[in-house]
Amino acid sequence: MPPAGDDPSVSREGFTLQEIEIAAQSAIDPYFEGAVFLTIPNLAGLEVEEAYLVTTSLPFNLQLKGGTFRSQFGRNNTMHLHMQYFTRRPLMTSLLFGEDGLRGPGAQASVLLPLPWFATLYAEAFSLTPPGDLAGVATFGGGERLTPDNLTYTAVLEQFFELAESHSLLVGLNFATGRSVDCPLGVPCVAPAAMEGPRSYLYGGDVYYKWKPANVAQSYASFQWTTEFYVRTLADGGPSEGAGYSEAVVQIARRFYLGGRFDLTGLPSGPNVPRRYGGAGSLTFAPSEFSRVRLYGQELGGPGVQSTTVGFLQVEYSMGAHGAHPF
Amino acid sequence: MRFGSKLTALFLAGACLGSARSASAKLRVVASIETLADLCREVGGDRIEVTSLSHGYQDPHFVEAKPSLVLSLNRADALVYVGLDLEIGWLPPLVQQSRNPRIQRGAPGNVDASTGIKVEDVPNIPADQLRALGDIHPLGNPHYWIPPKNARGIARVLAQRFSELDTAGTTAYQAGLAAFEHRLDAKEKDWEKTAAPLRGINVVTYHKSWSYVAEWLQMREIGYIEPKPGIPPTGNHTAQLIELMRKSNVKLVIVESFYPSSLAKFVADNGHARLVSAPSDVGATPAIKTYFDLVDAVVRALVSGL
Repeated sequence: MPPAGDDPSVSREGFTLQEIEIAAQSAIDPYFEGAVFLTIPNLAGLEVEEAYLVTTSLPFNLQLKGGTFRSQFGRNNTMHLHMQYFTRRPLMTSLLFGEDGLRGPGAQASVLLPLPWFATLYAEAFSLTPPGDLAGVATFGGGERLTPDNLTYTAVLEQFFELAESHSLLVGLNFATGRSVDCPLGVPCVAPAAMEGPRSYLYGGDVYYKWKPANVAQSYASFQWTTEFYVRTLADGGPSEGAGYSEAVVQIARRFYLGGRFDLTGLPSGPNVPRRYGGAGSLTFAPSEFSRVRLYGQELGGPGVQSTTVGFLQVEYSMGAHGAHPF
Repeated sequence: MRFGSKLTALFLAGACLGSARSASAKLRVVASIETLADLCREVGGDRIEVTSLSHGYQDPHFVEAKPSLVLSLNRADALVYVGLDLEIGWLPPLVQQSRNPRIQRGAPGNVDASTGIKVEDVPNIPADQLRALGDIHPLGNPHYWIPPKNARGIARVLAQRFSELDTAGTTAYQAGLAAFEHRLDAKEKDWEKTAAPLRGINVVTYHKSWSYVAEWLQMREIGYIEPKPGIPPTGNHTAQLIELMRKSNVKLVIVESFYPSSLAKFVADNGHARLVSAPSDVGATPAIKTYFDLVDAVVRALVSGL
């Protein structure tokens, strides 16, 4: 199973530096804000994880974003590595989205809908390149890069419901379509021009529930639960294949978080998305707002394959200005 | 029309739409904390409509950046916030998501209340050493809104900005400010008279958030339950603090009502001091509905702790 691009397991055993991220965010002028996030995953090469402009002054509750950025598709896909409570990304990421998730050069238009509750509609277009690891299969990135026929398009509806002061629910409906890479699992691929596969469709939903009392004098306890599930179909009648995960994180003390994640791929299964299970647990200690120490363990298995257990002791730290905590 | 001109026109349309407000409509103000919301009401009276993004019983450092708050910001004519990075963990992404040009940085509706006060505790150390001191605020101590002189400064900033945003209401805002200051002058004397027994006493606080109040009421802060701002107490630090308290005849341990008070009570009991769990924002309890209620409650709580 191909790992995500920021997965630490490429080092097999011993020490590694999973990712270095250098970030800069600033107002550009009265009309734009800008951000640049440079990363070095596993000490191998400098990547531009995101570099974009976003408008602040358009009428009709519109917002435009341009550059290279993470798609709004799903919840985990929008997150930088350090925002997770787990060391690895969900298994579905590399199988359905690509090794670095669904991100790349593109443009996004979004509108805050005039409803009594928070609802935002996003439409995006990306020029995605074929995956670096050609042994894998990507939903997107096949064929020529710049023609409209080969762009990857997404549509996302994100809605937020404040069930009570301490109970919040965020629901996302997601759809994406693009050219798949015509490179079946295990078959070597060479020239990008030859890899233009059939149009693929990826659709599914994400749900995020959070319970957190506003008054911490009562308790520092909190609970958050995330579930995402997506299915990919191919235009030429190929098999539909799906994958997803469900995870829960409990804040057990002011500085301690206990997390569990269950991954399921291959529902339905197919030649490119085999049935696999993953069970992961994490214990995160946050000494301050700027550092975290995490123990992470994961058991992976599935029909006909030998079970694998992985474990990590992870240290995260940040320098500079206090970062924001998006919901 | 060339594309560039069209784009410029679109931005201008956005700006115009953003500032469009009928003469009879109320100025829609969103404040980051309830005390600022109340000061807005004092100055703006009936000409404004105010909501607060947080509640007085919340730690203002750690408000959840719920998307529902975006809706209030989206419709606001003005955003009034504490500044000095108090809200840095939650307010910036909400403002960006609001898609509201009226409240973005640099816009007239973006009102940093700290511009009306004399900022204290600005760290005078190299930037690369700041975090070694904990989660301190590099721009200075943002817990400034309780002392009357600071409330007066905030109210003046509000009157000025509201007048710029709603020129037809200038007279009303100046009248609101004058009435507030008149009442504040009288109350300030009462509070200082009531708080006279606090002068010169040694106090310990949980977080470094009572410095402005201590200066106003002439109390001496000699230590903090947090070893460094934002860093939870350790056993070693707690023991040293208790030892210091015993030597220094500390009278009060002051903790905001949104912090758990069990450890503060332990420190107070063992340091031979009294614990005061004091409100620090309007709305901390249902009875504290205004700025004046808040300061009444703070002074009463501190004096009753002696």
